[in-house]
Amino acid sequence: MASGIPGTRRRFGPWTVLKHVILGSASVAFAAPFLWVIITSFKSPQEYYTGGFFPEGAWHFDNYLKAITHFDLLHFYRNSALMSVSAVAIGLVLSMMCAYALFRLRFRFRNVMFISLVVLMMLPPQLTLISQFLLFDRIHILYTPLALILPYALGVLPLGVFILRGFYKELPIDLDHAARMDGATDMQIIFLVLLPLSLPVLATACILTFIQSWNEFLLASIFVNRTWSTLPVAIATINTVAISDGNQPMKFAAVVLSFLPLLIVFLFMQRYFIRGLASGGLKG
Amino acid sequence: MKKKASVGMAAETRTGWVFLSPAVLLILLITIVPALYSLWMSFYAWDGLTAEWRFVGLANYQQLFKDRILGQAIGNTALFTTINVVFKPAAALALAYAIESVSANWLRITYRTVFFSTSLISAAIAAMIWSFVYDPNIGFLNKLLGTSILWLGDKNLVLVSIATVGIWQFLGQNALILAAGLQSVPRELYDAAEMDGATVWDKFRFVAMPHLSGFIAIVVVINIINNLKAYDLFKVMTDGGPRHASEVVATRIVKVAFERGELGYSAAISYALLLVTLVLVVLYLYLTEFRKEDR
Amino acid sequence: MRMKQALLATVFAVSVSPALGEPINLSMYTFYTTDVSFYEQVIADYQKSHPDVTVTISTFEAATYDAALRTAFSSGNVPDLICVEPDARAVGMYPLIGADLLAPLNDLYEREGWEDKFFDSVLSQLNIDGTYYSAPVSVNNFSLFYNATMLEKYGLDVPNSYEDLLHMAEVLGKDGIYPISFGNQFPQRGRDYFYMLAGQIDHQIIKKADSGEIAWTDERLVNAAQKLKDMADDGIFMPGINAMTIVQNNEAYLTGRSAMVLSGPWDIKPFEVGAPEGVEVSLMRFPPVFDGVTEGVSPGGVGKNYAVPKKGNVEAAKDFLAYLVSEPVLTDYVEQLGIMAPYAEPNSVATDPIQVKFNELQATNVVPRVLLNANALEALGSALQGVIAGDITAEEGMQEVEDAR
Repeated sequence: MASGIPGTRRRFGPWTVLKHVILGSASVAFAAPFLWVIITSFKSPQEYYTGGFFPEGAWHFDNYLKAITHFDLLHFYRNSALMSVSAVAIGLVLSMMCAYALFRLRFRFRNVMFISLVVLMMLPPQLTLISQFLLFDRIHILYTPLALILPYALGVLPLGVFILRGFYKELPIDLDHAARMDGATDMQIIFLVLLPLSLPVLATACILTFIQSWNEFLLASIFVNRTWSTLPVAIATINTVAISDGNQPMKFAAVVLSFLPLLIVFLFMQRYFIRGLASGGLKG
Repeated sequence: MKKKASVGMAAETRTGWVFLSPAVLLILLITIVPALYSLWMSFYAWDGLTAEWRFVGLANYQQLFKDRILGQAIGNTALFTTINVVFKPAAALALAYAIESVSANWLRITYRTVFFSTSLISAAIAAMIWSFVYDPNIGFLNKLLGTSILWLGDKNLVLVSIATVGIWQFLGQNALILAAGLQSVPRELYDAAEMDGATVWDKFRFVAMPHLSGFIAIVVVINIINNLKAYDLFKVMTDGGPRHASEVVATRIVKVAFERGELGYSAAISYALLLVTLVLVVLYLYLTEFRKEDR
Repeated sequence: MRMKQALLATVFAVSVSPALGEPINLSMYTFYTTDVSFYEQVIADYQKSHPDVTVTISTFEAATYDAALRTAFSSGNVPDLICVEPDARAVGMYPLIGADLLAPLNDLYEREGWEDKFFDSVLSQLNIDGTYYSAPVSVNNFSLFYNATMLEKYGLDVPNSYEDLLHMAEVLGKDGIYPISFGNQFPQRGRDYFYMLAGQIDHQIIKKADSGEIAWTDERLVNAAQKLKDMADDGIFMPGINAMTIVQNNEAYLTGRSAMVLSGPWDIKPFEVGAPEGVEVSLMRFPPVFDGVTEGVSPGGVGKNYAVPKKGNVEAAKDFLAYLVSEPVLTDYVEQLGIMAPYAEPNSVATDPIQVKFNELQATNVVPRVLLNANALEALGSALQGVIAGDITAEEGMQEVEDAR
């Protein structure tokens, strides 16, 4: 509470006015493409081509209903949710175990292992794409949810460990020692002692890695087919179908529906999110 | 299973390995083994269709220096990454500072949400939205400006147009991470500075900045890593055109592999890209750490 | 029609299918996502009449289809029926034939009498030194959609020569309208224009250049590239060619910014749905634009095309392919998706005047739009963008293609 930039509550200097003008116009500019997409999603196919900024006739709310039924969007929501939730859950559990080993134990290879994790983040996905495909085929998980969940979980790992790092480093180590004295195993320390304390940080990691998994495109378009397609790939398909159907606004309705859940989640969690980042591992 | 606090380092290292092992095994299986397989592949000519691998030694790596289109792609990637690594964090810092100094709670939250919301969507969808914004006929931008600029068709403009999308998408995310840094600065320091009659700039430079170095480092590193391998934006918006003016290394890797069927060569390009990323990140971290010690 | 289709499926089952025995699983790969719901129904009917067969259809995004296909082949987990482009493009079938991965289908062609059925343009395109490796379910034909209402309003006749196009540019230009919108951001449409213009000079010229019989720097090919540039410079094409996608050039046509657009049967539906009230969408052959050339041509030939990999369940896949190409299935296909079938009978179901016109245009003057040389294919797309933008001359452009060969 005692941190943050103090507001200039008392004065209305030229700085404050300038700041609000810039912030205000910048946020309008940032939101404009979204707003335009949202408005377009209510247009009729003809208005898409000829109309001005707003629909001239009726607002076609049924574009949304059509997008959901016509494109079977719920099916892809389910897939996206399954992949992202599993990947984030597995990835964060692994992150907690890794972070514990690296930053709560006197671990000899701490730096080597930590740097290896960071390098993992740098691998261009194209590097392993073909080999992974061949591997997944060999171990019979190609075209199943696991083909996405496993790589996504690994994508969670570096970020998860990174964010937990600073937090684990700052928590007094006596906490672990005391728990151990009371007979707690290492597993219990991680999940019963450290986990409750690191919830805000984990929430942050959760949001960041969830967004990342939810939006992944390249692997999702190759490792699974339509049965397990996720939303970004489904939207790409809808793009093609909408063009051949001549109904472009419906496509934008689908686009809006694809990012709405994340927007709502963020809106509710943003305060928590910033606090988590502030107390997390980014502190140098 | 009681353990004493004085258990030796060797024992803790052993326990450490136990806890690392699931992740390490998964990494070995999903990433390291495929990566090594690609490394091996990079010494062969292989079309991905048959079982025939022809050993070519370092020829694929030599080819890197002769490939004219790849040269163009490297130049474009360098420019795109530079815009994103230099301009974006700087702008994000200013934005974060401005947002966090807004005193009205609701307004601050609104700003945060608006700027961050763009990073919630996938790059593929951002590309779709912006193709629509840049559309020369019915596009929002030309409509708004009353122009008929070919945002994605002009070979001198296309890279900047796409970089704009990259900035639009992740400026808010960068700013949010930096905002978290600003929040970690103790309030008392600002108050003290204000007592001393510090200006806005002074407060920023001498109070906030010293606390931010770690946060800035992470933002810069994320930008280096993600922009060097940027693919979706380019794939969806231009697929490298016109005339390779927006060709980047990542789009080239995929084209070489799948359209031309030179999988070995594409693996070689991937390794070159990884090497460059590593060097840049290490160089950056070395320079910033170095500066810190200097202080 | 559904009834008839199911009935015919049964007849097929009795006549050609091997004796009932082991359950057969067929896996089919396609990148035509718009076909999925149609094929799901076709598969359901087929399975009803072939209880021992299960067909699974896997659809991929066009952008990733080639990756999926290549990796499937290299891993040995090969699908039984695959959709392939009939040229050297990313998912083209020539690399697959070169690697000896596709089963010859000559016996199937003979059994089904396809050589007597299919359009000549289709057969000449698919016959590779006497062997057929694939069978088409649709054909393409690129012709000129025009806005009849607009032409009438400006007192213009349909153009029959380059002079007519220039006249159109002049008349429409007064209102800021261009005769033709042409989007070449992804350079496939530029190649189609090039095939068409070169084809006006000599129907077989592209085939000759591709095979190496003539050089890409041949004067006639340079002229074709130059003509493309002239049309851009003379205001016949709407500006911003390299900045527009194909979808966007269609938008220009629909919004009345251009009078005409070159496209195929798949755009009938989007045009008829998207056209503003009172605008009449019509179709004609692209006019001849060279001195001494009297007839226009349409680039076209095989559209959606299926092949049977050697490693799959070849016989069962052939039977299923025969079903997909059979008249009742294709008749439904023409009716529901508005495409054009590779032989005349299914197309006769079409009543839409534009579909009918396409059928008429398909009967004559169709020039191939395929290249077998992948390097030349990529270079041609890039070179035409350069010529149109004025970055390089037509000679330099064709030299680039020749060098890439």
